[in-house]
This record gives sequence, C-alpha cells and structure tokens, in this order.
Amino acid sequence: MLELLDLLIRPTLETVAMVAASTLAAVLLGAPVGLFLYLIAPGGLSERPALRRVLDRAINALRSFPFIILMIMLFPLSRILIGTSIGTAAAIVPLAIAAAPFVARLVESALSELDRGVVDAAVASGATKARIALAILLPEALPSLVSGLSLTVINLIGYSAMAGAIGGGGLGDLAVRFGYHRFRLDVMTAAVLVILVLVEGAQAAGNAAVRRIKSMR
Amino acid sequence: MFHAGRPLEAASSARSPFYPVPNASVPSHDEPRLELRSLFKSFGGKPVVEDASLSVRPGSIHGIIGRSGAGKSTLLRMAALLETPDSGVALYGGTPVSGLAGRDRLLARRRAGVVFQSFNLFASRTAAGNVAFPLESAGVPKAAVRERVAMLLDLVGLADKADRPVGRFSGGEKQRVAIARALVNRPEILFCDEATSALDPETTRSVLDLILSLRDRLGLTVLMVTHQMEVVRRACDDVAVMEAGRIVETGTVESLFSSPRTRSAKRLVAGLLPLEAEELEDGAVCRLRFSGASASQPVLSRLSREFPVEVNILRGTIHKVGGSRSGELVVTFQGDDPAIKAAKSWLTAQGIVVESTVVGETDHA
Repeated sequence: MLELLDLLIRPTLETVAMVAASTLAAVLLGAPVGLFLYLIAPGGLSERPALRRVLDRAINALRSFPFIILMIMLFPLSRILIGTSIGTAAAIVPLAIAAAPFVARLVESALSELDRGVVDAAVASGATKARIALAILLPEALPSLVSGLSLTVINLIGYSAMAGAIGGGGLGDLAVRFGYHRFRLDVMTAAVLVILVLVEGAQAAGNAAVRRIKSMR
Repeated sequence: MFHAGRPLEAASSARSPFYPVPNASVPSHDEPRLELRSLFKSFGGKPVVEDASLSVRPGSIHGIIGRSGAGKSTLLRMAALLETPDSGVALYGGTPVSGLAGRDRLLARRRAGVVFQSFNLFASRTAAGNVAFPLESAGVPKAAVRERVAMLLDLVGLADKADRPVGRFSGGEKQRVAIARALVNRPEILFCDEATSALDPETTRSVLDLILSLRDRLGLTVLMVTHQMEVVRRACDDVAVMEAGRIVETGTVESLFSSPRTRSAKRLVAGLLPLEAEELEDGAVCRLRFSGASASQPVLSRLSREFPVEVNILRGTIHKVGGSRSGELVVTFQGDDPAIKAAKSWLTAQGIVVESTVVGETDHA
C-alpha cells in the first residue's frame, strides 16, 4: 500500500504540472484567437469574411488532427523550445498546441452566446472595440468562459495521459509501464482512479466557480 | 439635489393627457437637431427602409409609430449609428454623421444615447458600473466619473441602489439604469427603441414621465420608436407613421389624432382605447363583465327597453374560455340617477358583474 502511494505521488504531480502549464499556454494562445474569430465573424464588430474563412479552416484542420500524430510531429518543435522531446516539460508543447484551437472555439462560442443587444448598448456608448471586448464582452461571457476552461482542463488531463504513454511522464506513463508492461493491475487501477479524481475535481471546481459568478450577478 | 418624485409629477401634470403641448420654450424655426435624409436599407436584397426622411426639432420628442416589421427600429438604428444606411445620411445638428469611421464615428456616437426595449444592461456590472461605462470609455477621470454617475442615478431615482447588480432590479428600474447610462455622456439626442414595450402600464407611464422631465431638464431631443399609440399620445410632440419601410405620414401628434390622413394612421388612431374614466366629464363609466349564460343573452337591448336609460358602448371584448364565453363591455349610462341605479342592480341580478370605476384603461394597447 505504502509502495503504491510512493509510486503514485511523483506521476500525479507531473500530471498536475503538465495540465496546469499546458492549460495556461493553450489559453494564452487560443483565447485571443477566439476573441478575434468572434470580432471578424459576419455581423461582428469588425467583419472580415475572407480572413474568417481561412482561420476557420485552419482551426478545424488542427482540431481534427489525432493527438498522438500531432505529438510525434511536434517532437522537433519541443526540442527547439524545451531542449528535449522526452519528458513532462517537452509534452507541454504538443498539449498546448492541441488544446489551443479548442480554447479558441470555446471562447468564440461563449462570446457568440451573448445577447446581441448588450453588444449594441456597448457600441452605442461610443467605446472603442478593444474596450468593448475587454471591459464588456469578456466579463459578460465569464460564466461560459469558466465552464469552458474546466472542459479544457478535463480534456488536457485525458491528453496528458496519452502523452505519458509516449514518453511524457505522469499518470499515463505510470499506468502503461506498470499496468501494461508489468501486469501490475493494482498500479494501473490506482493511476486510473487518480485521473478520475482529477477530472471530477476539475469539473466540480468549474461548476462551483460558475455558480459563484452567477450568484453575484 | 434633484429628486425624481416631485418634478416628475409637475412635468406630467403640466401637460394635457391627450394632446401634449409642444415644448414652447424652443423656437420652431431652429435648425433640426436631428435630421434623416432619404435613408435606405435592405437586408439580403429585401428593402426594410425606403426613402425615409425626418427632421426633429430641438427639444422635441418625435415618435415613430408603426406595426412590427414596418422598419421603424431599423430607421432608429441608422439614426443612432448602430446600422449603416445603404444610402442617405443622418445629421446631428446639421453635421452629417452617417458613414463616418474610426474615431469620428465614436465621437458622433457619444453625441447620442440609446435606450432599448430589453434594457441591454451589462449583467457583469452594478447599476453604477453600467452608468459609468460610457464615461470610462471616453477617458473621463475616475473622480469625475463617480460624481457624474451618482448624479445620474439620483436623477433617475436610484441613488440608493447604485451598488446593486442589475440582475436584481425590476423592469422599470432596469430601464431607469439604462436611461442614466444613455445620458451620462451628456448627449444631445436620446434614441428610445420601444423603450417601454417590455413594461407594464404603470411602469410605462412612470418611465415616460421620467423621459419627459429629463427632456425638459437637460434640453434633450428625443426620437422614440414605438408600436404603442398610448406612448405617442402621452409623450410625443410630433410623430411619423411608418408602413412597409416608408414614412407615410408626419405631423404633430395633435394633427395625427384629429385628422389622420393615411389608412395606417387612421387604423392606429381607431385602435386607441377610450380615455380613462377620470378624463370623462360624467363619471358614469362602467365596466360590465359577462360570463356563462349572461354572455349569450341580449341583455343590453332588454335593459334599454325596460329602463329609461341610454347605453353607450365605449369598447367591448369577448373571450372564449374553455368552451364558455365571457365578455367585457365598457359603457356609459345616460339617464336619471335613480334609473341608472335601478338598471345597474337589474344587471347584477342577470349575473353580470358591474364595476363603476374604470381605471388604467389607457395602457393595454
């Protein structure tokens, strides 16, 4: 039992670190793109139909890429940015790049759900587009953005387990090495249970945050 | 400091309830504060507004009335710079403002405030936060923002609720916050797009009275789109009637009511409900409610045969509720008091509910 706990601690921390860092990077990469997609959409504040179509296709292409292939393809990029293509830090690069288009879509759809009239009211006040976006649109969409964020974290927990299987470390790595290669069913079960707890935790935290934001309105 | 209650009452009682008096303090030869010149707009090849021209005198409240789909909201949105016309131009105080871009367009938008049917408040902000937004965007220093926001909230009677999130306000309060937000930049023109259509009759009245009093206090010029003739009657000086994308008739509210020229104007005036009981000279207005068997009997013709009383029907409605009919008539009786009294108790005996005072009749449009 103690041995099992000992085995679990390091991979759990690795997974948490991997997910946290890649979520942050994915939001930094994807959220501005999502906002931009919303602004240039037909009927948006700065319509750019042609550019919008191009971006749309690019994001769909990136999203339809199987993660395992994307990861192998991004080994060289990991090597340039992190200095290695193996390990937890190296896995953050493909994880962030896989999640960024997802985040962009989430942000775009959260903003599209906003009442058109609220946007009109902000426009009518004579504010610049940048101010409308930052001071009104994003705060107004906060509940959907937060629940999108917890969805992103959950997806990344799943992806990180996959990344672990091909040298990324973390709980996925543990489950494959012990459970699959050494027939340690107990280790594999424990690793899966910890992943389950992480997913449930992310979901519960997201729900609680959304409830709290809504209760203050 | 100004308190909402008293000056509002003064403002509304100074006006005739039926024919609003145009603001006398404004010389009528003045250049129009708002002018629309031959505006056109179509969506997806379908014309929505065609050749709409309008000029609004400074300090006046100009209504645009028409049925849904007549293009009145689109016209207002072009005037408020929320929509770009296909052709034509809107002018604020003689300056063309359509087709501006960038900073010029932002500055033009700050010369006008807009109030919407669904309030369109920012749920993520408090009342004060909503009112502050246009000022923050205009780069006004924080202390000045606080002061001006407090003043505006006081003006609309919500000074004590400044820090409340807007989701917790009633419809009338929300519209007051929206009015404060629209006026915080000291605009010359206020646009109201069906501003009272989501409100109950009483709240509609109080919001209209607020707009009237703010017009007087701040020297605003108001363009007000509505489908409610009651709103025009209560608040407007001039009115344009729109149908199928065109302005078919323009004039003072008085001339529209006394001599409507077009078919749509006639229909709008005819659809108007009778005056409130207290506005009629003899107080003998009655509401009669029929239900069940009494609804299918020729009660009124029997009444005038059996009593020396004339019945004048002002308005009537009949509903079918679950297979049985129920009806309502608003009538006046003419005749001797004892005869009227006898007639009323006879009606009660026939199973008809008789209510002698009719209140709140005007706002069910």
